[in-house]
Amino acid sequence: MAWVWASLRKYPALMLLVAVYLAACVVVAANAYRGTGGVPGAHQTKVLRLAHWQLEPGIREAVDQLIADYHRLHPDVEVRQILIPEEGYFQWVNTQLIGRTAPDMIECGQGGPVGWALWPKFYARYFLPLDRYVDEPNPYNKGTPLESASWRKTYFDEMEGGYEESLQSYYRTPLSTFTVRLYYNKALIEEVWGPGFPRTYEDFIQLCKKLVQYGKDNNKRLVPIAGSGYNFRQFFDAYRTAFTADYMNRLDVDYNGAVSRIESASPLYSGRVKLTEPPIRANFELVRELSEYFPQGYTSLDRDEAVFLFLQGNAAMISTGSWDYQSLGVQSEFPIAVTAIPLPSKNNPRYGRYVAGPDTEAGLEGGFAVGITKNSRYPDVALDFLQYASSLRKNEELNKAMFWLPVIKDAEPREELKPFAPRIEGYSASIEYEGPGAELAYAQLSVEYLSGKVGYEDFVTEFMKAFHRELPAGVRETIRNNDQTLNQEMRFAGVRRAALTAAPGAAAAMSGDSPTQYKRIMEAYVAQLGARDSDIRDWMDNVNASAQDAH
Amino acid sequence: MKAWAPLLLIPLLGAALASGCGGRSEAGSLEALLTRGWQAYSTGDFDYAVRCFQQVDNAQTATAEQTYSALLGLATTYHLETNPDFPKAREYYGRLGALDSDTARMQSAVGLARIDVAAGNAADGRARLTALIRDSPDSMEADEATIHLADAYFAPRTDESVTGGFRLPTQGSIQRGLETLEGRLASHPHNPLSSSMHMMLANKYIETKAFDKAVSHLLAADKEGIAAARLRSEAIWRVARIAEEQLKDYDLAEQYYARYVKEFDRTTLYYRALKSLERVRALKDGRRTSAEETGGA
Repeated sequence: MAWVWASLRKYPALMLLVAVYLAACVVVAANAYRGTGGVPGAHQTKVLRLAHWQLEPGIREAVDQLIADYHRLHPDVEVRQILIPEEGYFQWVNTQLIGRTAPDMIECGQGGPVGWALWPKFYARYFLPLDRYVDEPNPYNKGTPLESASWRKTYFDEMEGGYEESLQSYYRTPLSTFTVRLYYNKALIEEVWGPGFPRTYEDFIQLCKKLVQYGKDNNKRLVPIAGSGYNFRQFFDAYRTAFTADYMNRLDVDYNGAVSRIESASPLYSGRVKLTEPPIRANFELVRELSEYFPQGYTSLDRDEAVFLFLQGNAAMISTGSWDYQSLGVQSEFPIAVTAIPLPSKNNPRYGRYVAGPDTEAGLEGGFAVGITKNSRYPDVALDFLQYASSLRKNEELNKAMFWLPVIKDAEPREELKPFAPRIEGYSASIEYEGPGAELAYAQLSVEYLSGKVGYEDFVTEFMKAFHRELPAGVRETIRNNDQTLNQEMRFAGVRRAALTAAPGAAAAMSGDSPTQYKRIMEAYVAQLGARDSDIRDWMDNVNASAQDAH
Repeated sequence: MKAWAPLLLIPLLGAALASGCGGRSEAGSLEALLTRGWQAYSTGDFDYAVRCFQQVDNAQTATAEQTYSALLGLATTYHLETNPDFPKAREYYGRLGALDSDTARMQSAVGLARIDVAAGNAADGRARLTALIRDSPDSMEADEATIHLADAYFAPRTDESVTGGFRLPTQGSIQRGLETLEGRLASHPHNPLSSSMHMMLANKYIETKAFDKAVSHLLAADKEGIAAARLRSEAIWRVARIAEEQLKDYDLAEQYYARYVKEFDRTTLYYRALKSLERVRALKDGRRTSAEETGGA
């Protein structure tokens, strides 16, 4: 060794270079070792982040309890919640995903119409598909009646709330479900109306009148219903379904059990269906009548303002979802009860003959749905945590603590939430008044009608002018969007076909069984082709009928 | 100094091996590249998919199968990305078709035909698809080609010069589409896409108001097995509704409403099906009573 040192000492600069070089080699090797799960960092806590927008009282604490229970089972895992206000949630998620700084788990599906269009793209690019796991049992159901059921089958909706139809894959783990009901100030209603709550629309209007009088008599600022554009929409939709359920027989020309936007708009365009027809007119007139009992200018109020009005005792009722049950209960200083939105009785001389029934909740799907991001360092741990949260016992505990409805079969909700149990009997909406492209005109003109600025005939005249002007472009746009969905389906069929022809890499790139998935995708594709062709034929038939009428 | 200087490379090689640079063979790397390419393709990361597939295409050591996968990946990515690049897709489908493999040639033919149709050369596209079905009748590509060929006959075309913006297919064109599907089902009745073909026929017969034929194809699709639960429920609903409203076949309507109620109690149509079942049973009772009265008279 002495001769080596003797040789090297003549080259101090070279020695320095060699020393730096060797140090660099050590750093590279250590990093590589750590990256493969070796000793450095192996005993560190695995930190997972879960982002959601559920800021209602009690939710954070309930999720924290779930996390603490999971941590007891897995001391090396720590889950942290990131709570983002609803208003900025979608933009925040968008930025985090694009910047590749997204948390491990993200609550999905928020953002209004823009969000609805973009979430499928996010799933495809940034989220982990769950297909390979959903048909395996949830290990945390061991020892329960759901022990041998696949994870998907343990859900009340067979995990439909986690399935992304446009991508033909599961991406989300739903943890709760929600229904909408009419909440009321029980003490006030009993004082004004007596025990019980009106069961018919007629009695409901009488109650509203009494509440107005009660406010005047007591010199109190009281509106019967706390309304905003958001809450009012729930009333409007309930009555739209009740009055127009029978339109399915006229409008569903392809018999698939649903009225598409074009099937709904085309006969309105040609005049084969008119907004002046008695059931439709009755629908609008009823909601106009009801809007008298909402606060003035309610369409420009937001959801929080409506909730505030109710909690202050300045409104006797509010229509909102089961997600608000706990927050309203905690914040109100009066007892709260819930009921369904009352419909006109069959004996109602003005509306009774048009009412089919309530809107159904049979197609309800799971919500509070969480996806796992692909850039998560621990996707397997995130999956394990979500399986824990969606196991029979833990999902029941979690939802009891949150005052929400569980999503797992046999999981019991809290006793007081039983009025929120999904209503199976009832119908789905069968007509949509705002046609493709005419949404803005509808929003502006319907507000003018509902606020009493214009009468029904004037509303119809003005709206139909806009409808005729905007619809042709709107229909073409809808068909273009449909073509993009078809293209996407062919893209998925392409990789499955590649896998079926043993193209190296294709099978390994996808989860699920390729022959079944290929068959499923092709079925969805031809169904979409059929709907497109039928929509276009229906549209053109109505355009031609409209042209003939003009002649 | 010169004698031991190469020893300096040893730690570098050690570190490089530890970091995974040389842990796999090149063949393994190409396989991994293809997997990443297909993953990127399916998740819509098209630029990355193209880079992965191109690396394999450029690799001297790629096997014939790997080259097939890379060319198919490049062609389908350029074809089906959000903003398709048809010239490049054609170029790669062309190279794919030149490989010494029947599968590659068939995949190439399906792709080129679909580009022809999308680019407005429907006649060329139909000719390619027809040739594929004729020349390789027992292939899975012929099944898919049948669906694309029928669609090429059925699909309305955008035409701004027409009031309404679309030109509907002629009766003759629809007839050729129907014959394409029916011909394939006659020669290959239980092919993997038979349920899709029956559904496509049913859709077109409903559109053209040939309801009895539509129902028979819906029943056939159901018999072949519809994989997607939503579409299965839709097919059963359609049979029941058409049987009741158009065919006045209340026995069939009752049978299928009853099946819907039994199998799909968590759908928005469940209650309608239940009410419809009550209605058709009442209609059947009414018919029976009426027949008895007529017989008695």
